[in-house]
Amino acid sequence: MKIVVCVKQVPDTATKIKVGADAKTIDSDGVEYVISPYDELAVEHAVRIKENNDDVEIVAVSMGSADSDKILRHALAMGADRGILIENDNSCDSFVTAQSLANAIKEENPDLVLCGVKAVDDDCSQVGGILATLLEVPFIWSAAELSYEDNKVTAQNELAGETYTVECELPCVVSIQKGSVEARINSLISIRKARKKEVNNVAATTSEAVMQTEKLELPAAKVGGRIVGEGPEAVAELFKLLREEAKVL
Amino acid sequence: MPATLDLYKMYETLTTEEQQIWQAAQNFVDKEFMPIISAHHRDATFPVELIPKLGKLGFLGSQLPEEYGCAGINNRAYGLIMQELERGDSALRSVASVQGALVMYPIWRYGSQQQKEHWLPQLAAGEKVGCFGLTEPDFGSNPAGMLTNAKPHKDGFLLNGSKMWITNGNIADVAVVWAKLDGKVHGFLVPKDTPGFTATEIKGKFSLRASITSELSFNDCFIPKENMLPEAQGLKAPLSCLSQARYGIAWGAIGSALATYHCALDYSKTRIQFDKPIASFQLIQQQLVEMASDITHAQLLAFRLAELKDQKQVRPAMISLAKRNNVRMALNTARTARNILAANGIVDEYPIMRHMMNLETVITYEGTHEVHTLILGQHLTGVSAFE
Repeated sequence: MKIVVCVKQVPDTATKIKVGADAKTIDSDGVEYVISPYDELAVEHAVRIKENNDDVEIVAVSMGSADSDKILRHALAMGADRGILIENDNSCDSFVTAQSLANAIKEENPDLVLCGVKAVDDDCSQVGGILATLLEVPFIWSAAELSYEDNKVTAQNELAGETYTVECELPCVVSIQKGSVEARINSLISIRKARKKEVNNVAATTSEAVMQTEKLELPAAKVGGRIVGEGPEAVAELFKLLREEAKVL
Repeated sequence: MPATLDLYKMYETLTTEEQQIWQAAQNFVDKEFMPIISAHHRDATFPVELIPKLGKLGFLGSQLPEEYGCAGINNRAYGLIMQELERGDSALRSVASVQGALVMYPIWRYGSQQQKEHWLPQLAAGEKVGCFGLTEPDFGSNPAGMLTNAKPHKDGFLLNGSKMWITNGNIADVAVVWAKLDGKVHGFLVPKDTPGFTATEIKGKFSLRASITSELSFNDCFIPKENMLPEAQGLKAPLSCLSQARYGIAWGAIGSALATYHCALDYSKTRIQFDKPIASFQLIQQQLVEMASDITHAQLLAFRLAELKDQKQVRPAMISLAKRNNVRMALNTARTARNILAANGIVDEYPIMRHMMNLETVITYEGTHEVHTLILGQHLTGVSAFE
């Protein structure tokens, strides 16, 4: 069995984002890049399937700049067997990313493709679905729990307070949401072993992105609230302001 | 990634592997240790269940060779682990320091092949715990005066004496005990069930409350000759172990200082007095700047010391300088942080007082601040103030 896990490098979630001089990208000075947390969970699910089954190979695939090697090494330390880095320094949209990933993944002919439900930098949540379409296999979106048995996966997801359980025969693509599984902490020995694992660098195989970022700006600073009074006597004033000033009623 | 301080971009010089090791140590401390430390500090207990976890992650004796189940990492990566463990609590770093630098290191450096193969893999995995007995009730800064002694007896030795302030003494499966044999210091491995060997926990500590500290006593303990460390002769052997541990302390102190500095920094931005955050007051800013400046100095020392140690150019005086400077820095940082938090600084909702009390130990163990001053004094002048 072969599992491909797609991973993306994103700014550390604790980073205070600043807009770059071009007003289209973020200022990367001092920004620490990490594996997107949902992608890390996808790796964890893959490694657990490998630990519970014989003859499972895990291939971690990332599209991004050369320093994405760092997050591939993280996935390798978690338990992936080898990595593929699709080198690309240009900004690209979800379709272009999925297309390049699909071209690389087709050559691997995997049984199962896992990815995070979304990358926490742009929150697009589109690559998994487009990838499944391009690979012409079923897609399970946002699985909080995932198990594998007898050539099929069972995924659970909570939507609107209901738990949905979905079964699907392989091959398929599953995007992973946060559930009960937590990503492991890598041991020093696994980190050292990861250094020696194979990472293949390949060129991106897609055309220019159709979608372009026109402008990037931070949300307007929040202004302080206003207390219009206390108790029942303030209600009339509150209604008036909501209707006439905020215009939400 | 937890808040750090990297004004001189030193952490950016780390290799991918070093960054991953640092991240693993951060994750362990944040996920496994921070949620429980306050309760253990109150109860004066150590979470012993974490020792096998430390072992599984490779944090015990992590610099020793892979053939004994260790990770074989370099000194910079080792230092970063010590930094993160002590960001959690000095008790956590102490456990790793004692196991790695004071128990596994002497077995690896001075032990027989059989001793290495028997003990090192189990100690690395955290399946067994060790302790280190050098200090005695009446001999702290002057270990050469130790009274604990070994006398030849049948196919081994009879060990008599006592050791004081021994981290992990009550939970240790094996003690590395230093004793005089014919007037010369030797090392002995004493398993916990040896008849005549007892460990008594020292209660009532205000400092390192989350660490187990014991007094060991040896009353005609028979030690078979194969339990003596064959290559350790003279006081230089235990002092070489202390050099390893002191190196880790120089890094650990930075972690403690980062914890108290960030606590004070965050607090100052949200604490409102006179209708504005206290971070806007000049006197508060000055205190934060002093802390950040001192931490940066300590980082520079630690990073350079790691390079020298990896290049095998490190000398005891260099380690003394870093241990002495960085622990004093961390203690001053904790006191300044406590000042910024004022009344809130004394409750254990914040980590400051816990760190400050711990550092009152760290500044005197593994060589007091004054002893390190005199080691440096001797190095500079060529004249020993001890003799």
